[in-house]
Amino acid sequence: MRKITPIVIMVIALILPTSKIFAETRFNFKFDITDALVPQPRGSVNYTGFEGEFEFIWHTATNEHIGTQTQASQTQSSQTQSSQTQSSQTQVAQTPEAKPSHHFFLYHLLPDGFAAGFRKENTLVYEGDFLYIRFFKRTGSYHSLEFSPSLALVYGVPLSNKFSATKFNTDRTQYESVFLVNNVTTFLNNSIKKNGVFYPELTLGIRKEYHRFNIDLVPGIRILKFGILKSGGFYAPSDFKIKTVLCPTIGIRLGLRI
Amino acid sequence: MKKWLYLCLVLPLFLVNCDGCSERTLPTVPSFDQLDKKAVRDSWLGGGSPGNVGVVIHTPGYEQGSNEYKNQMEATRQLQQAGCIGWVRFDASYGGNENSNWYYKKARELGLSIFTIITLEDLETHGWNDTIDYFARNYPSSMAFEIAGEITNTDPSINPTGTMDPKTYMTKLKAMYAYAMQNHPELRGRITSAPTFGSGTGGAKELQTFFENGLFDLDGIIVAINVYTDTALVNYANVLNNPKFAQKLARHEVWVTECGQIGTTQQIAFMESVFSRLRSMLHARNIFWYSMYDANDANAYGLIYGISDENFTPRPLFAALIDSTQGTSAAQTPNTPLIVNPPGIDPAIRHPHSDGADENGIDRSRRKER
Repeated sequence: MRKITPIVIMVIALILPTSKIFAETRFNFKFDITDALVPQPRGSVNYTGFEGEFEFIWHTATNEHIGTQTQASQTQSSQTQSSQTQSSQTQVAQTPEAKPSHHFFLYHLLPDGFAAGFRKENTLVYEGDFLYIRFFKRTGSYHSLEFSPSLALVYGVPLSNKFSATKFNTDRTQYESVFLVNNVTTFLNNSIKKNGVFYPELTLGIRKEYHRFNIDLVPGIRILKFGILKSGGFYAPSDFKIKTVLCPTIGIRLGLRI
Repeated sequence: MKKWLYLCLVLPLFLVNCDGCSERTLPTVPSFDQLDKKAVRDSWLGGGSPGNVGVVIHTPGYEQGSNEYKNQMEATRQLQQAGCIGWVRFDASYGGNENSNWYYKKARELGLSIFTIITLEDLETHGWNDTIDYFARNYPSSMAFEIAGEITNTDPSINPTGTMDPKTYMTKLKAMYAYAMQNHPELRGRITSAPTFGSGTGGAKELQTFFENGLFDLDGIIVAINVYTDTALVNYANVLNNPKFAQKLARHEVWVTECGQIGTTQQIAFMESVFSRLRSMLHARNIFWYSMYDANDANAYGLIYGISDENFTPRPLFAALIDSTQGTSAAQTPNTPLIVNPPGIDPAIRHPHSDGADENGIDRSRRKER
């Protein structure tokens, strides 16, 4: 499984972008700069990671609706466009009135596309490796910036020492430990049960396009579960609780339309 | 043509996962003169007291009057007086050993706490209950007992009577522990489980099996682990931080009964990198450095070498620890030639890493991964 999975992912990565089932395909490369912005304790390392992903936009009615608005405004502003361009716009775009009204609510619920990718934090094998799938919605644009909130489902093996901390009392008989709760057994190094995490991540992509290139600012929130363990020391009762924590994240994504 | 473009984009993502990056790169350490000795000491103690750090000293080693004995115990005295250790771990054997007794005596004189490892060979040969009876009666100075070494280590010098699978071990341990608590209640809180294998994922799997087979049912038992590599450390953390075990574990102490690195300059970097994580990720209460001396080889685990000479030669970690409080080392400076004796493992020492990698063509800086 461990050997086959990367091959399967690569094959999918090769086939999907070339297929005609998507309105648009992009390859994005994202740098997570969260840790770089946060002051690190002396001697510790910034675990700034990166992501590589393919982004696919479906031929959904919602996309066409957004496209219509944009294109309509473009048509209004430039009356001198060639007739060839106008005809192609008409082919792609339909007016909102033309769509069945009972579908309207559904159109807004469906994502406009998805992205599948790989995240790497640090250079260690089987640590800081994640696969994710991200569904996004294109909500509109403002001053040529396009906004797209997205929900990502992230699966992988986190960096072990990034989220672990233990504070002892003076004679080390008691401690309070905080650690990221692993909730899945991953196919990477799966000899140990619950060696990985599966968590949602909400982000907002703020995109600026230049021809076929795009640059996005991507603030977001990772919804992580932390275990807080208070040891009572030898023979004494202990206290353990799991707390959901919203961890902010920010990244810069550079992309290329394929 | 497009496909080649995709390949170029996608392949690097997979290539990042190269095997050469499997271990954390140790930070470079400045030259000894530029070294912040206080920082080395702080990492060693981790804000705790010397009572939470120890050194493994192999016994029975040498006769009382020998240079080897004097040098090992002198180095121990220096570390203890520098406030860097409160514990020593000794080997012991059923029936006793005259040389071994001198080590115990000296450690008691110094006021050190003694941690004794009981071999699997003794347990299997003399019976588990008889063995614990023997040690409880004859080693009153020992503050804690480790019930066997690495039980799955195939090195015949560690387990001459063979290895044992973790489930069988747990069955025998539980029976012996119940017997010990009934007949030697003073041993409560002074017995550790067998240390799990210190490299690869094998140790974490063993630990998981111990937990699943009732280790936490043994009230007051100390959880012992050996840690030599990052892979081992990370996988231990996965087991210890599993919510299924976490709360039960909090009633037990975790001791790292062996942790060390070969080489001269690597030892400081390794210690600074690993000791903090043993405490933060594994909440280890006590940590034992492996070892005071194991070989005259430059690539050895010992804090010192050259112990057959009149004066031993410290490796930089030892010198830094001593220097951190005294300003100048009581021992020789580490700038003297590092190898004074021909390389070779002393046959008097049972070397737990002789499964080592040299014979298998693997870098000795990593223990055999499983």
